[in-house]
Amino acid sequence: MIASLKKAWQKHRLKDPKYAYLFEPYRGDDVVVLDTETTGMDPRKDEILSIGAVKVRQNRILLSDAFEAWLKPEGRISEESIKIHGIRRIDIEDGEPPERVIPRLLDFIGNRPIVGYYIRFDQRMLSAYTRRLLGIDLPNELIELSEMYYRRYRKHSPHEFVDLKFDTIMEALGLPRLGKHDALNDAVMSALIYLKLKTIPEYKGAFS
Amino acid sequence: MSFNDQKAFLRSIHPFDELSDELLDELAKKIDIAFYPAETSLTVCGAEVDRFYIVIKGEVKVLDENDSVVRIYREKDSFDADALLEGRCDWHYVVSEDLICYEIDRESFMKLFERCEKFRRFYLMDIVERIEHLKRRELDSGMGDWMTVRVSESYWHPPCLVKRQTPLQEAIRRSVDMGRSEIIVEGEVGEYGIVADSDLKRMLAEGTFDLTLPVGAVAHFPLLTVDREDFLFNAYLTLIRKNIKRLGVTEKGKLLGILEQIDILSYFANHSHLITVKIERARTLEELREASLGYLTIVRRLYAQGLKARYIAKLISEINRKVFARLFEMILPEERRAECALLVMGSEGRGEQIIRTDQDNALLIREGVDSELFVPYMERISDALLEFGYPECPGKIMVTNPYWRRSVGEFKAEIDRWIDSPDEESFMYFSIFFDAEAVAGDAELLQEVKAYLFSRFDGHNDIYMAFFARLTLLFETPVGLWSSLLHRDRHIDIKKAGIFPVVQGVRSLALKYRIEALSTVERIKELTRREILQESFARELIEAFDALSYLRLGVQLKAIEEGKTPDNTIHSKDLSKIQRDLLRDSLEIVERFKGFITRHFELDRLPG
Repeated sequence: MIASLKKAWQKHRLKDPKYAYLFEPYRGDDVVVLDTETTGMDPRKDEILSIGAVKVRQNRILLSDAFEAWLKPEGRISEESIKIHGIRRIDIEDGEPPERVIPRLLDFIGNRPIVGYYIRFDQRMLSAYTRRLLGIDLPNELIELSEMYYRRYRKHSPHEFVDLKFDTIMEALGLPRLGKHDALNDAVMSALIYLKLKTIPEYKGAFS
Repeated sequence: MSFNDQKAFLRSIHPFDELSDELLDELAKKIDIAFYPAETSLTVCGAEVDRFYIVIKGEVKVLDENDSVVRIYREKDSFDADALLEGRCDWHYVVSEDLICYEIDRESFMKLFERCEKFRRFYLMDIVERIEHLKRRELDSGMGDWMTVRVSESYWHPPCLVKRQTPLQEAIRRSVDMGRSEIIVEGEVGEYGIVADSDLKRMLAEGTFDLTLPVGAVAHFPLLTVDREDFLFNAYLTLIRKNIKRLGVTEKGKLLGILEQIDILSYFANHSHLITVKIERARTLEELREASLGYLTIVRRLYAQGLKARYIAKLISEINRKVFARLFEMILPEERRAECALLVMGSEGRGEQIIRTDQDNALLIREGVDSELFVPYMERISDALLEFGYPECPGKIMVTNPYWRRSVGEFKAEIDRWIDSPDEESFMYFSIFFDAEAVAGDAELLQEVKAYLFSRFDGHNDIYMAFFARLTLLFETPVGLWSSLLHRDRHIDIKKAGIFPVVQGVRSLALKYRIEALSTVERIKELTRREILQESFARELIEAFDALSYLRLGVQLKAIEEGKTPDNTIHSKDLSKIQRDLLRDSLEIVERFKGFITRHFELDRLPG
């Protein structure tokens, strides 16, 4: 109820009618798995450095039709994010301006659900851009991987701590790390996690 | 996975490593990744399927129509080109461990086919050629053949060594006496000079020839040398670069001998020649022992050169036969030699024993001659063989055992007993004797007994033959399962799984069709000539047998190097990807051969 009100409000604020389809209910069975790399953790002042996204259709990660883009940040890159992402100023000299990247990303995603690891953070980061460009937050349905994992995790006691670190999840699911750490690779890894989790039923045991 | 990661992954897989950078770029853009949970049935062929799979992680089992596993694909394996190319698909594919794989669409796969000759050839080649192809690559990736031979393993001449002050006339006389075409002059400590025959000729022509000169005045200093531990190949390069004919061979600076260019060339041309000459010339047991132990060096080198196992075996069994014959001559008095025949049996009889694993031998004695006469000689032969590195046969199938030292008539009676009251032991004795060859003494004695053996199967004894053939199935051949050995340290007895079934199956056919050839390969060829085996399958079988023997030789050599007793166990961790493919393909052929034997002898109809 609240969600649909919110959606209606958003749609009302949309500056460009071309993107009205984002608000259409999705009827296919694709999802888009997405990851971003940013200058920091605060959507109000930090910026996106790169975006990687892949479509997942049935059992397949459509790598042949992947989305990968580097943005040219307007502010300074913090020492910390240099450490995390290994991206330096010089690496993003060739980055594109957001007004070119974001519409392309929206075309790629369409109205498909978006899957990711702590995907609400990516959504907030992206919404900072879509708000500026289109007047709306990214409206797509979100599927949270850590939550999917949590729901399938077999707890041995009601107080058991469930480690939701990305690498822990990968390991627990027996998935290999492919390639180095970047937005597209992480999106592919997330897609593998998603495909694997889909094959496991949710845990309805004593301590779920 | 980013673009470069995919390229790197693809490049680590044969035949994708044959693709140009440009094709690889194009391909990497066309690849998808798929995830299939365990138990998924993959549709690999059929109208709607148009994908080629490369395993990143996980396991896929291939099942035949009876649901038995034909093969297993694991990391870096790919499938199924045949299905894509011909639309042929007799098997079905089931994911046995969560599968993460690359998928290439048919169109992109076909493009690689059109544009890369090596890629196309790899998939179009039939299995025989594929095994060959893999073997060649194996070679390319290893150190090449004779590059690794050391000077110490080759032959050089003793030097004609004289002092500086020796008059030329005296020095020449000494060189003529020694049959040398050069004089080596000892200079300061550790320094040597040389006067070659060609120098003498030049002095004659120039009129500077003076027999009274001290040889030191006309010698060239210094003589170029090579350390005995240096590579023979380096010695050869020095000769070529300096445009000279001889080098001194030294050990810690001390001159040991002279190595000539011609020695090196003939050494490379015919490395086994030397050992056979040494065997024939041996005068004492010690000399014979030394000569015979040289076989291991030859085996190592031929193995490294990638010579087919069957040719290595042939060469080695020729050497072994010479050793046996020479030993026989040295130990038996002349009058005894014509009264008996020394037999080698089992793998040695078939000429397939490359590494000396046991001595299976026997003595066949002319009717009416007292067998006790031979006892002391046989003890000595057996002791000598032990010294030569032939371990005792654990089953005591040796000339020292009275059971294996019998007259012609007694052997015939024993053959009757083997056939008429078959049990595990008599089957084994029969097999071993069936492969016997006479290496010394009167070979006709064996011919007579063999003729008798075959006559026992004239138009009857089909049941015995079937039971004999059934031994082919005695041990399991782990088809397909092989690939699952990739990550864990698993092992396989390659003799039981692969070599024995071929030997026994072929031996059974040889018995049925009265084929006198002894080696498994020769028997297969004869069976093909008589149209019992199809030519294409026979070719595959020979190559598979060869590949298995080659792999076994590899582990045996490694064991010897590490000071262990060589056995038949292959550890998965020691195999390269190429070797694994080789093994997998070969075992698959062995399994098909077992099927052939089962049908041919109607083994399904046997009781129990």
